[in-house]
Amino acid sequence: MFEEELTELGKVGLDLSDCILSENDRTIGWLCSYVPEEIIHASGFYPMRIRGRGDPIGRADGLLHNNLCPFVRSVMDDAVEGSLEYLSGVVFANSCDAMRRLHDAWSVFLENDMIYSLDPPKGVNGPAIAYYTDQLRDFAKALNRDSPEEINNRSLEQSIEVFNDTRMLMEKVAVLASNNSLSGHTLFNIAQMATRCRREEFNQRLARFLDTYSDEEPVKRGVRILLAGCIIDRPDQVRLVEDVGAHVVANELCSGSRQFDKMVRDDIDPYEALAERYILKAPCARMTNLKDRIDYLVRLAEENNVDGVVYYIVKFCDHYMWDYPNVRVAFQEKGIPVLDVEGDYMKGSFGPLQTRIQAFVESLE
Amino acid sequence: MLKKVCGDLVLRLEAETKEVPDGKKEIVLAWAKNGLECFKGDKPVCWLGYNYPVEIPLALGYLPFYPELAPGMLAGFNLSSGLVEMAETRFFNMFCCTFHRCSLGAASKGIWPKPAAILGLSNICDGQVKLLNLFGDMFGVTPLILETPLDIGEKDVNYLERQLRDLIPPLEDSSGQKFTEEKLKETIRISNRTRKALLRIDELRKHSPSPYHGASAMNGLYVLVTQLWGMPQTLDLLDNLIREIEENETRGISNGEKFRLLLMVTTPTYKTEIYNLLEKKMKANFVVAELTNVVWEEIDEQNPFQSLARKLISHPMAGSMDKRVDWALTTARDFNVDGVIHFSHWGCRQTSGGVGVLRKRIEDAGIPFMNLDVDLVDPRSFSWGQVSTRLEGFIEMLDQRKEL
Repeated sequence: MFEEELTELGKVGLDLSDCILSENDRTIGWLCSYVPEEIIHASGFYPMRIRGRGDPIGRADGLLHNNLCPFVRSVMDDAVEGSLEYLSGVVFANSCDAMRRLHDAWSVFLENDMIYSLDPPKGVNGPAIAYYTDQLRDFAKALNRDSPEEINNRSLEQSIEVFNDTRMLMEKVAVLASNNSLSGHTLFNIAQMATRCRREEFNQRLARFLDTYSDEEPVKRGVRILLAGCIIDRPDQVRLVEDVGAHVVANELCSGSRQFDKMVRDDIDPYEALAERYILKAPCARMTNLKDRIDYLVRLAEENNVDGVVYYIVKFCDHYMWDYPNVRVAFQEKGIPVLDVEGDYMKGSFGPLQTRIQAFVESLE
Repeated sequence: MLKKVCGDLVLRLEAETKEVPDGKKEIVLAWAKNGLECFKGDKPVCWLGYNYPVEIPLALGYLPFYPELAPGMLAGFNLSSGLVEMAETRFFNMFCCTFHRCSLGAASKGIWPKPAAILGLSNICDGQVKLLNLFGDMFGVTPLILETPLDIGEKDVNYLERQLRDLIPPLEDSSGQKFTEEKLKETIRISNRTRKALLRIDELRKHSPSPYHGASAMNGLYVLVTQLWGMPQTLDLLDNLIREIEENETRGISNGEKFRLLLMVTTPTYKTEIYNLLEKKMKANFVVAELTNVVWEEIDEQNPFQSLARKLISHPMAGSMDKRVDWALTTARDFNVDGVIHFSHWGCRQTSGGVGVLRKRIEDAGIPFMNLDVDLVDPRSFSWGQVSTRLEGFIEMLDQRKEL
C-alpha cells in the first residue's frame, strides 16, 4: 500500500517504508479528524486514517445514493469490495450527513465485528467540550471490551505524548514548506503518512529527517498558494497544483496540516484534554463557528504570505459549498485572490481542474 | 411575491370556504393569513428550521416562519425556478437542496418577511444549519442552533435540555417579551391537543378504504404539521377536518381504493399529475405520509424542556437510519399498506442519502418499495413521462402480487 507516496518520500530522504501499517498490524480505521487517535492508540490498536481508492464507484452505487459525497461512496465501495477487511474495527464520526449515512450503510450491508460512531459536537463552547468528554470516556470503555491493552489514564497520557510529538514535528515540516525548503506536496504526503504509520516509529524517522534535512537551498519557488477546503487525500493532486508554477506553501486540509493543529494539554484529565483539543482545533466547515474558521483561514494565508488561495470543494459537500460565499468575501476583503474548484474526489479528477488552476496561477505571477 | 401569494390565497380561499366549507382549504387559508401577519410588523417573526420546537418561540410571542418550507408554497404557484436560478447565479452550483437554494434566492430578493430571530437544529441536515447561518449574515441576526445529539441517553437529553433553556434569554431580548412557564405550558397544551387530533385522523386513515387521501388532503396536513404547529387556530381546523372525514366515511365516499401506499418524504410541491394517476386512474391511495405522521410522545408540560429534548432526538427524520426504518416498518404494518413510495429529493443527503438502507430493510420485510429521484421544488428537471412509467410499473407489480 502507498508505494508511490513512500517512494516520493524516499527521494527527499524520509524512509517510512518499514513503518507503514500493514495487514499484519492490529489496526483500527478512522474516517474523520474529529476522532481522537490517541484513544485508539492507547488501546493497543494502531489508528489508521481510511482513504478511498478513488476508483469509479461499483457495488456501492446502489447502497449509497449518488448525490452523496464521492469520498464516502468511494470508502463504501472499497469496504464492500473487501479491501478494508484487514481492519480490526472502524470508528465513524457524525461529521456530516454523508458520513452518518456511511455509518448507516456500513451497519446494514457489511459484517461488523467492531464499529463505533462518535458524535462530535458542532458547537465550540464549554458544554460541547463536556459532552464530548463523556462520549470519549464511553468510547474508551467500548474499546476496552475488545482491545489488546486496557486503556487507563496512564496509557492514555502516554499516547497523548506520542501524538503531541507528531504535532510538534509536523509544525516544523510546515515551516520548511512555508520557507520554500520543501514542496507543498511533500508536506502533504508526510501529513498523510503520519496517519498510516506506526506512530512512534514515524516520529523517530521524521525527527531524524528534520535533523539532517538541509534547508539552505530553496527547493521550491513559484506563486505562493494556500490550498484550503474539503478532503484531498492524494499527494499527486497537490503536485498537480504545483506543476503549474505554484508552490503550495500551506494547506488547510483536514487530511493535511489541519489535523496537526493544537496540542493536547497534559495538565488536566486526559479525556477532558482530548475533548478540548478536538473541539477547539482549527475548525472544519462542519463546525458552527464559521467566523473562527474564516479568521483561521485568513490568518493562515497572511502568516504564510500567500499570493492566492485555491479552495477545493468535493462535489455534494454541503458544508464547504455553503461556506464558500463567506470565505470568498473574507479573502477578497483582504485583497487575497481566491479560486474555487470543485472535484469529485476520484483519481485523475484533478487533471481537468489543472487548467483553471494554471490560469489562476498565471494571473498571480 | 410571497406577500402577494398569501394575499391572493386569502381572498380566494375565504370566498371558497364561505361558500362550501372545506377543512383542507381552511388549513391553507390559515397558513396564508399567518404569512400576511408576518409582513405586518406588529409581532416579531422567528425563522425556524424544519422540526424546530416551535412551542418555545410561540410562548414568547413570535410568529413562526419556515424559510426552508415556504419554497414549497411558491413552487405551487410556479414561482420557485426563477429563485433557484438566482441563487445558483449568485451563490451555488446545482448540487445542493433546492428548498434551500430557492429560499436563499427569495431571501436575497427580499421576498421573505424580516426575521427577529433565527432558530435551527443540527440533526435534520447540514444544509439547514448552513442556510440559517447565511441568513444570519444577511439580516444581522445571530442564528441560535441547537446541537441535537444522535443518541437518546440521559447525558444526551441533558445536553439538549440545557441548550433549550439557554435559548430563553436571547429570545426574550429579541422579542421584548418575558418568558413565563405558564405561557409555555399553554403552547404545549395546544401542541398536545393538536397531536391528539392528528392521532385521531391517523386512526381514521387506517380504515379501508381510507377516508382521507388525495393531493389537497396530503398538502393540507403537510402545511399544518410542518408550518402551523402549536398555533391555537390549528385546533379548530383539525376539529373541522375530523368532522369532515367522519362524515365522508359515513357517506361511504371512496375512490374505490385498491392499493394502500405509504408516502415517504413528500410528493413534488409544484403541480403534477401524480395524484390523478395514482388515485383516480390506478386507485392507489397514499393513506399515510412520513411528514404528517405523529411520531412523538405527548410533551410533559411539567417538564417541558426535557420532554421537548426527547421529542427532537427521537424524531425518525433526525439522526441515524435505524429510527427511520423502524418507523417505516411499524407504520407500513399499522396502516396495512401494499407498498412504499419514497421521493428522493435531489440534493437532500438526509433523506435520499439513506435510501439504499431503507430499500434493503423494507424489502427484507416483504414490503414493495420504490424510490423516485425527483426535485421536489424545481420543476425544470421533472419528467412526467419517466415518473408516470415508474409509478404505473410499481402499481402493476403490486397488482400482480395481490393476484398471487
